[in-house]
Amino acid sequence: MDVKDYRKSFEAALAAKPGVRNSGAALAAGPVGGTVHGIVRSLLSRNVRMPETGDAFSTNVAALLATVRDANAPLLARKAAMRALRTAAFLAEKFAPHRAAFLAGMRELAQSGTDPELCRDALEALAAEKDPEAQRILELGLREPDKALVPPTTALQFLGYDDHAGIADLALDIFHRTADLSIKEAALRVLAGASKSQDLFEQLLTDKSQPRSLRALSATGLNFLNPEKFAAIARDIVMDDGDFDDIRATSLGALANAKENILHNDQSLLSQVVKLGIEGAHDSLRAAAGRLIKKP
Amino acid sequence: MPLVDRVQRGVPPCGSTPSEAHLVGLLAEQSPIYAGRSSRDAERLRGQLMAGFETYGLPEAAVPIVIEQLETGIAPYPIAAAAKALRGARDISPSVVALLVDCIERLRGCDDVVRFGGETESGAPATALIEVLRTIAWLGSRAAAARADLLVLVKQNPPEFSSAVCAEMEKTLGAIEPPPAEHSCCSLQPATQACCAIAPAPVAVDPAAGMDIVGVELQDQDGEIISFGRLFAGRPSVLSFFYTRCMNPNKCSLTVSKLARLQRRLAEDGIAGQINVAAITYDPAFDLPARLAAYGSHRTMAFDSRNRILRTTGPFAPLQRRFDLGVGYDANVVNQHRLELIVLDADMRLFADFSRVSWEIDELVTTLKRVPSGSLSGAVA
Repeated sequence: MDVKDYRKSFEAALAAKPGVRNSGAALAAGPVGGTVHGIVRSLLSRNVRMPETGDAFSTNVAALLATVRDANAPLLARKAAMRALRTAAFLAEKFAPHRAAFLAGMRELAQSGTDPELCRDALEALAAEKDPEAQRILELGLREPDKALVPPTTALQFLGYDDHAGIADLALDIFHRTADLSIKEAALRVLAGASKSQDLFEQLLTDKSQPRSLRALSATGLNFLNPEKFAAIARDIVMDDGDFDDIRATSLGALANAKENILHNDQSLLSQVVKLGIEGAHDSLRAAAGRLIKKP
Repeated sequence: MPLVDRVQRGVPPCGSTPSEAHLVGLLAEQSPIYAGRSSRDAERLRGQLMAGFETYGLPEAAVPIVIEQLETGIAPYPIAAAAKALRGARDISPSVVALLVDCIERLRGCDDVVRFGGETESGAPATALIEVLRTIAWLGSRAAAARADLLVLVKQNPPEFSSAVCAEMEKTLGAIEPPPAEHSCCSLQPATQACCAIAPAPVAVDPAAGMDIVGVELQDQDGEIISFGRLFAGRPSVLSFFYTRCMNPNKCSLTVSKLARLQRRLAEDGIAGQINVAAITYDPAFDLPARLAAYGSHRTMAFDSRNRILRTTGPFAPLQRRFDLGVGYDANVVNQHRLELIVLDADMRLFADFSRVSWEIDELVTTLKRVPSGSLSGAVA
């Protein structure tokens, strides 16, 4: 699906979802009461920002943390508290005194029995910190799906936050085992950080019977891992008018970034690139062709 | 149950105490116990072993490892482990206090709860900052030099530390009250003071020539292929190891930046052309020439025939074996490594080893000027 189409359909789905725009009102109507939930309620209903003065910020973070950890609090309040906490965490300096407690709270939530959305958010927050316990949980879920707390695509995405998570072999195994295209795609994204994936990427890229998305990811992956190797394949892709435009655009990009300008000694490729620069069906293809033509 | 399994399960190694040599050996980054583990997993296991020194006693051979961790660590767990290990020392220089205060600065924005197994204490679990503060408190009056820094930190408004950490700071301040005036050779001296030095000094440790690696093929930042022997024979060399995906700014990035500074200093001293300055990546499959060139030039390294940043075109293992390099790997990438810089003489023999040491330019230049050869003719002081 085209990115623009995807965005439109996502926005439409979001607008149709009950309670999203009125979550503040829904919360206010609920049995929340008390100062702890009141902070969350005010954050939601009046769209207020986290106070920036030290004491108020600390009080709010502590209250939000208490809410998100409180299994008896309304789920909506807990989810709102989670969002507010993750926003507050971006204010690294101010958040620093609360960081250890925040991570400890996330570890409490990252387990079976927690609301799936809270659990997912907690695992993501921990994975972003390269937390080894979260990585263990995610890896376990990939190896033993009955113990998984999040879907495999999400687990691979979260594990991919850490180049040093050591899951290249597992991702490769999953790629070969699964028939699910979205899981294969997630596995390839992880493998883009593993040097030994080069042969797999080359094989997928040159096999035109493979799904477009896998070939596009392989083009990006190989270009990242070994641009020279990719540049060697890129010429054939650019010359093939039957290949996909996004893959050809990536190939043109690789040629543009190569050390030597291949166009100097390749008249047929030059003609093809000029043609794509003028007649290319998509902006990205025409722009990539233009960059290569301008290369000294 | 094997020691490593016990450590991982938080079971104290009751019965017989493991030998010092065995424990220190397990801390080597290249130890097989870390092979195939993720970085964080390896870090955690190593941290658990290191923290065990609080109980077994900190052997002298482990001190450089602990100090390196305090100097360069950026993650809460290994820093806390090193701080705990110090508490097992029979005799440690108070100069570690400065390192511990630096650790507080580094942990300020990334503190986390740390557990090492076998904890019996009740109440809130300790964070890395609390472990560092406990070590400062353990030093007692020997850590009096930290008072001024801690007082500033504890009085900050708004506080930059949690209430638990602030409370620990207050306790620590109470524990490090200076003693009545008395002479101590170590009281406030820098770590390099001879009477209490804790950093390993560079020493000539290798009597054998490195002939087994002369044929190892290297590729530099411009793609030129050259053998180890052709590049390094005939003149002294500074050789360091790094990799571009290193996440610790106090290690690889700083090392290559310091090599660039070293280049400028050698030029000022008029001996630049007589010494090879090189860095070789631990991760040759990923660190291709363009990546090496960008990494080096972004850190202002200059390149010519005597100054290069390199990868092996084949396996890295021969170099690792030859120089006993402290680096370990998961299935794909480096999972941990130590600081690594060596000085080779003109015959490619190891002249000085700065492993685990945050070397200074002056110190390194002085060492280079001591390399016995005719290759620094006229320029040697």
